[in-house]
Amino acid sequence: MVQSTGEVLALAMFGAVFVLLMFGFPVAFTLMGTAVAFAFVGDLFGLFDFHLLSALPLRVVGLMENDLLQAVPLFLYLGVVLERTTLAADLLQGLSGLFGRRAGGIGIASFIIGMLLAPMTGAVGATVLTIGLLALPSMLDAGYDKRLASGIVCSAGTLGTILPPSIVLILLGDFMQRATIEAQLARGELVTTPLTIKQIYLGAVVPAGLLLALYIAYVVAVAIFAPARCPPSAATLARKVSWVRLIGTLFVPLGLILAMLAAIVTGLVYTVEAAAIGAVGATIYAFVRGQLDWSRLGETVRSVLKLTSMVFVLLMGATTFSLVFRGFGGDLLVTRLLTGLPGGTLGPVAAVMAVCFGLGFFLDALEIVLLVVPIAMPPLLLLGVDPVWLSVLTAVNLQTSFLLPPFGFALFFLRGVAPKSVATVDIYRGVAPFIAIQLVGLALVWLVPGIVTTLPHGWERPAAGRSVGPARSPAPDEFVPEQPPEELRPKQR
Amino acid sequence: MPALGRIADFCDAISDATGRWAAWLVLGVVGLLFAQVPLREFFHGGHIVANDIGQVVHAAVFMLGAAYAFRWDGHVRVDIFHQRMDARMRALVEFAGTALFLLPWLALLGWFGWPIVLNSWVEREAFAETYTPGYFLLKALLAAFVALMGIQALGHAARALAALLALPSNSER
Repeated sequence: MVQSTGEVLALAMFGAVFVLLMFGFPVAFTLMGTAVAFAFVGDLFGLFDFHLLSALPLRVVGLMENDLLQAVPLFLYLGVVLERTTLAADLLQGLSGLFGRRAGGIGIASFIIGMLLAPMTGAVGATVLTIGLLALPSMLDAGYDKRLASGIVCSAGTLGTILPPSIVLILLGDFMQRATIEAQLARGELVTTPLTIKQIYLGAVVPAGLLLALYIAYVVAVAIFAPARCPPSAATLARKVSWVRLIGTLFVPLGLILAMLAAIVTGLVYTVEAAAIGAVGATIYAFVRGQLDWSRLGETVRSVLKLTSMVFVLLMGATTFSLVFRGFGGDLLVTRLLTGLPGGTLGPVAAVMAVCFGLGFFLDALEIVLLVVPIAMPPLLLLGVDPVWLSVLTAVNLQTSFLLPPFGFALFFLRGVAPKSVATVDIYRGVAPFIAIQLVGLALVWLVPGIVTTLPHGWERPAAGRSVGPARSPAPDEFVPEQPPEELRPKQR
Repeated sequence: MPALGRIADFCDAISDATGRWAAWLVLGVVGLLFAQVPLREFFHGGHIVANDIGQVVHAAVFMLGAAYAFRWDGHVRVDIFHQRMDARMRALVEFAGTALFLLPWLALLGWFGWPIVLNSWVEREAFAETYTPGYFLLKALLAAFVALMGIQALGHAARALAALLALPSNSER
């Protein structure tokens, strides 16, 4: 299987990075350092050309001028504004109020908050923390079953992996786009239809909607058959809900986000622009409601600065790592291993999904996308797997793994914020029904690819010239064997 | 060693100053990209220049902010085991990680990057597709990134070293 010493080092590097990550030094720096150390050792033994690393600065420049990734700070800004102001808390209260005396209100409201917040934080951990701090106390105060409440918080927190405008999907799309171009060139095809983030969003709409609907249906079922597990809160019962107030707190932010998504999907504006419009809208709304002043705004932008830097430094670490991994010939090894698997395309896809699933126990969604996608996805695409389907499958798969006891990422974070009265076993038992729902979703995406592929491939207008992909050519990158002819490249906006 | 602490404080102060200033660039990114639609649809001009400026400002956010994020521990860690380590072990991880992982990478980036930055600056390189002047500023951010991260890394290592020296080792306890 392994044909050269370089490939041995590539595998050793992959193994080493996982051991080293466990020391808890920042992931990005660990990736950078491990890659540089292996490159240095490889160069000493003539297995690696250290000069390959001279591509590093241009790769960083490529990250700087990637148009699509500009959406990252904008969505993060929107997420932080929702989080920092009391908008999210108001929303939770308003939504729960809608249900009046009926059971299950706060639970369903938590899912809707998750739906709004999760896609913009970029990290499962952060969302679980936010929803955990926001909704878990209200649910426990109202007398919710601890298991149900923890299950709701965990699964609502993982929604960000799959739900547009998910930052995870944006990064997945960015890598997939490059991998698609590579695969098309390797097959000797003309790059006529670069994958766009819009296609991935469209592909994710049905599965994400389905999962969300199933989650909510489960809570509704519990509310009907076991109302004592999710009673309405005393506060809601006491307060008369004013419809005017409700519309103010509820429908403005909800409408804002839905309008933003609609604008992206229909091709009215570019993803980045929609994100900017959403950010301006949220800022004005928060100012008008007196929730944002200059000092709050300062805190907000500093928080966005930190989160954005985190994402991009992580991307720098990942690009260094995959540069060295490929320098050792690791990509060829992975291609050979994957194409050697039985089962046509399904065997290799299943293998990659299994690896992603396993990594979901240790790493957050962003890190997995950064580590696995550039290495494992090009061979799969080369086999002819649909990139949109593959992206959505990866997202649903990761989302499931975050929920799985005992190591699921979401569970860890909930444990961090949950009061002592919620036992770890409660959390494990609580997520069980939601894992079942996830598995149903995963099976559906796997068995009925049409629920993913129909929308993007059917709806996409041919050569509309408004593709939302990065307008510039891929980063100056020695692994794209040659640039596609100028006229075939995604149009500069 | 109070000297190590003073070095660390000084480095933190530099990161704080740049970070607090650079954070406001986020609003610049929001504004410039928000302006795209009206500029393109109603004024039929200016959106290309605004887009190019937006790109530089966007890049500046994280290139200038990365050190600030490092200073406030904003870069994600796998903290499953990290939480259980004692203070001495953590300080050791921080010192070794900074010295063996981060600093060599930064040195490499700086070494391979400085000719690129310098050439671009001397030529006053413009944006390739749109001819908007000022592209050299984007590349200059590379140098700023290396410098700021380098300073913060030194400060971080100094603080970790100070902690290591101050804490008794396991065998002495």
